[in-house]
Amino acid sequence: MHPAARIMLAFCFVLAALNAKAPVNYSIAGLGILYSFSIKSRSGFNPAKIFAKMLLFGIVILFLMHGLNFHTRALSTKGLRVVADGALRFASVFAATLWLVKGTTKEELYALMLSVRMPIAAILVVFRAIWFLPHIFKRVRDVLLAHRLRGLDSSNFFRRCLALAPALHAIFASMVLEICESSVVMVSKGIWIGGPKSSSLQLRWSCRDWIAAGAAGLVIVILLFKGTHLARG
Amino acid sequence: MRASPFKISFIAFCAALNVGVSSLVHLLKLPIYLDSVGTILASVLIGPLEGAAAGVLALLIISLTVVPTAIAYCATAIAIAFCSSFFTRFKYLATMRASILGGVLLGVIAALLSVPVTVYVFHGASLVGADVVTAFFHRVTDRSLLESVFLGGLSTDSIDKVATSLLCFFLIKAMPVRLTSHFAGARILSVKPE
Repeated sequence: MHPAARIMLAFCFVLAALNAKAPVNYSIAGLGILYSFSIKSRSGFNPAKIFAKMLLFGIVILFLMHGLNFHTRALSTKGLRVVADGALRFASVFAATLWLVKGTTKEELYALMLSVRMPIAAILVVFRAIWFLPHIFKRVRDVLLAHRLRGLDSSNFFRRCLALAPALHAIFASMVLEICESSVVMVSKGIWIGGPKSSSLQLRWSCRDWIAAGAAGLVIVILLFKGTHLARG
Repeated sequence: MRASPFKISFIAFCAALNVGVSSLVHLLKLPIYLDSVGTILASVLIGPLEGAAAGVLALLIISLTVVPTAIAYCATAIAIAFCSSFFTRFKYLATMRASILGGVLLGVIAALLSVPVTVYVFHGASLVGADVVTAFFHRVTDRSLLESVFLGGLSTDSIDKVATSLLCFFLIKAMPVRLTSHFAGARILSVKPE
C-alpha cells in the first residue's frame, strides 16, 4: 500500500474510533488494537511490547486518578466513564501508530518525503537522526559497562546522578567523529545540489490505494459534518 | 541560503541524543526524563529554530517507538528551545547559578504548556513518571485535575529541567574546541579554547 494512503487510513481510523457512538467506538478501537498487534512487521521494527506496557500504564493511571475513590474506597461510575474514554483515546492512537510503524519501511518513508517535495535538508535531518540512534544506544551501553568495570557506585540515587555526567560527557565526545562523518555523507548525498532528488523505490498509487484513500476521505468528511467528539468535550 | 551539513548533522545528533539520554536515564533507574538535553544544546549553540527542530524530531521518534502520544507535547519542546535560546542573554549555561535559575524557569514553562494537553486531551495521564505524582495530588489531597496536573508537572519538570540545564552546562564547558569552533553560540557562552 502507498504510505500516503496508509497515513490517511490511520488518521481516519483514529477519527472514527473517537467519534463513533458507544459501543461502536470501543469495538473499532478494540479491533484496531487486535489487528495492529497481530500483524507481522514489514519494517523489521516491532514496538508492540513497549506500546502494550505504555497502554497498560496509562489505563492504570487513569483508573487511579478517576476510577477509584481513595476516601470511600469505592468505584466511581462517572470516573469509570472517564477511564473508558481516556483508554479509548490512548488505544486508538496506539493502534494507528503501531499499524503505521509495522507497515511502513524506511525506504517508503524516504520516497514519500521526496514525492511531497520536502527539502532535502529536512529529509536528511530525519534520516540522520534515525541513523544516529543505534550508535548512541550502543555507545550508552559501552560507556556504562566501562564505568561499571571501573567500579561505578550505583548504590543510591545521588551516586547514580553523579555517574550520569561523566557517562554523558564520554558519549558526547565520542560522537563528534560520527557527526563529522555524517556531514560528509550529507554532502555526498547532494545537500548542496538543488533540484529534485531521486529514490530507487518508485511509489505508485494502485487501485487499492485510491479506494482506501477515497473511503478515508469520505469518513473524514462525514465526521467533519457531524462535529468531533473532542470538540463536544 | 546554504545549509551547513555539520549543523544539520548536529541537529540530527541532538534529536537522537534526546532519545538516547532518556534510555541512559532509564538504565540508571533515575526518576527524571532528561529528554531535552539535545533541544537545549542545539538551541543554545546554533539557534532556537534548530533547537525546536531537534526537539520536535526527537518527539516524533519517541512517538513512533515508545509513547505514541508524545508528539502532542511538541509545543512544549518548541517553547523550551526558544526560551533556552532567549535565556542565553542572561548568561544561561554560562554560569552555574544562571543555569539553575534558567532550569527552574524552563520547568515552570514546560509544566504550564503541558497542562492543557494532559488535562483536556488525555484526562490527566501523560504516560510518564509524573503521572504518579499527579494521581497523588488528585486523589489524596483532593485537588482539581487541572491543579493536580500542574503541581505534578511543576514538581517533576523543575527538577528535570534543572538537571538538564546543569548537564548541558558541564557538557558545553567540557566540549572539545574542534566542536565548539563550529558554533556561534559557544562564543556567546564564552567557551574558551584549550
